[in-house]
Amino acid sequence: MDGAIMILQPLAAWIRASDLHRFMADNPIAFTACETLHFMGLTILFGALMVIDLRGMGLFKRLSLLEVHKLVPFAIGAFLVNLVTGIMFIFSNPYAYFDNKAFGLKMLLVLLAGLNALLFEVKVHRPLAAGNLAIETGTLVKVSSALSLAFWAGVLIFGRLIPYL
Amino acid sequence: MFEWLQNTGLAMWINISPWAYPTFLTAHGLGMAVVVGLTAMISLRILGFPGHVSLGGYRGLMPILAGAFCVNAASGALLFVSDAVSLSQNLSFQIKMASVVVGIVVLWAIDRRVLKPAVEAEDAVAVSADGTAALGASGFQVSASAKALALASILIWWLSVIVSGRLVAYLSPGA
Repeated sequence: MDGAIMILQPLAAWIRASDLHRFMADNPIAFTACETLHFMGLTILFGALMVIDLRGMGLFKRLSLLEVHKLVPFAIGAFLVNLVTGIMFIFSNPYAYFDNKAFGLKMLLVLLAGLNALLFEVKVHRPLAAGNLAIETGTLVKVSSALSLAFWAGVLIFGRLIPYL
Repeated sequence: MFEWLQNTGLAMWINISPWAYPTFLTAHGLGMAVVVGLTAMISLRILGFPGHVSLGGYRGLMPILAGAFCVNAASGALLFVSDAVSLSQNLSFQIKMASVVVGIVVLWAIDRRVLKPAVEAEDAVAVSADGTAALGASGFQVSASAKALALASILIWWLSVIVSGRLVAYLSPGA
C-alpha cells in the first residue's frame, strides 16, 4: 500500500486539517454513533441484495424477479448511509485507513460490486422489464447475482478485518 | 463457572492464536448481516414494502436465516468463552442476549402466524384457479398484529446489533 499512501498523502493531510477531523477525533460518541448506523445500513444493504441475488440465482421461484427488484432503492439508500458514515470513519483517522490492506481490498470490492450492479441493471433488469423473459433463465443473471453476493460478502469480511490486517 | 470456561484449552487457544478470534468475529459479522438483513426484508414486506410480491415466497428465506443463526450461535459461543468472565458481567452483553431470545420468539411467531398462512392462502388460490392465477394474488390480508410483530422484529434485532456494536466499541479501541 506504499504507492497508495503516497498518492493519498495530500488528501490525508487535508482531512487532518479539517474541522470534521477535529470533531470526529474529539467525540468518541460520534464514532460509535456512526458505527451503529454503519451496522444498521449493512444489514439492510446485505438483506436486500440477498433476496435479489438468491432470486437471480434461481431460489425462491414464488417471488418474481421483476418485483424483488423493487428492493433496489432500499439497497441504494442503505449504501448511501454507509458511504457517509464510512467517510466519517476516514475523517477520524485517515492514515489508519489509507495505510490498511483490508481497507484497500474492501474499497476495491465495493468498486467491483458497483460495476457488477451496473451490468445487472443494464444487461438483466432492463431487458427483462422490456419483456425479454428469456433473460431470467439465462446464465448472465446467475453469474452476475453470484458475483454480487461474493463481492459484498468480501466487503463485509475485509471491513471486519480492518483492525487486524 | 465462567472462570472455568475462560481457562479451558479452547478459550486459551482462541486468545493465543493470531487468527482464531478475527476469524470467528468475521463469521459472526457475516451471520449477523444475514440474520438481521433477512429479518428486515421479511418485516418490510409484511409492512407493505414492496407490495404486489408474493408474501408466501418470503418463507423461502427462513431456512437460510435459521442456518445463519446457527453459525452465529456457534461463533458467538466461541467468542464468549474467550472472554467469559467480563462478558457475563457486562450489561450491554446481557441486554444483547435478552434481545436475541426475544427476537427469535418474535421471528417464530411471524413464521407461524403470518408466513405459513400466507403460503397456504396463495396455494389455495393457485389450485382453485387451475394454476392460472398468479402466485401472490391470494388476497391474503396482513393483520394489524402481524404488522406490529414485523415492526417489533426489526427494532429488537437492531437493538441487538446496536448493543453489540457498542460492546465492541467498549471492549476494544476503535480502528
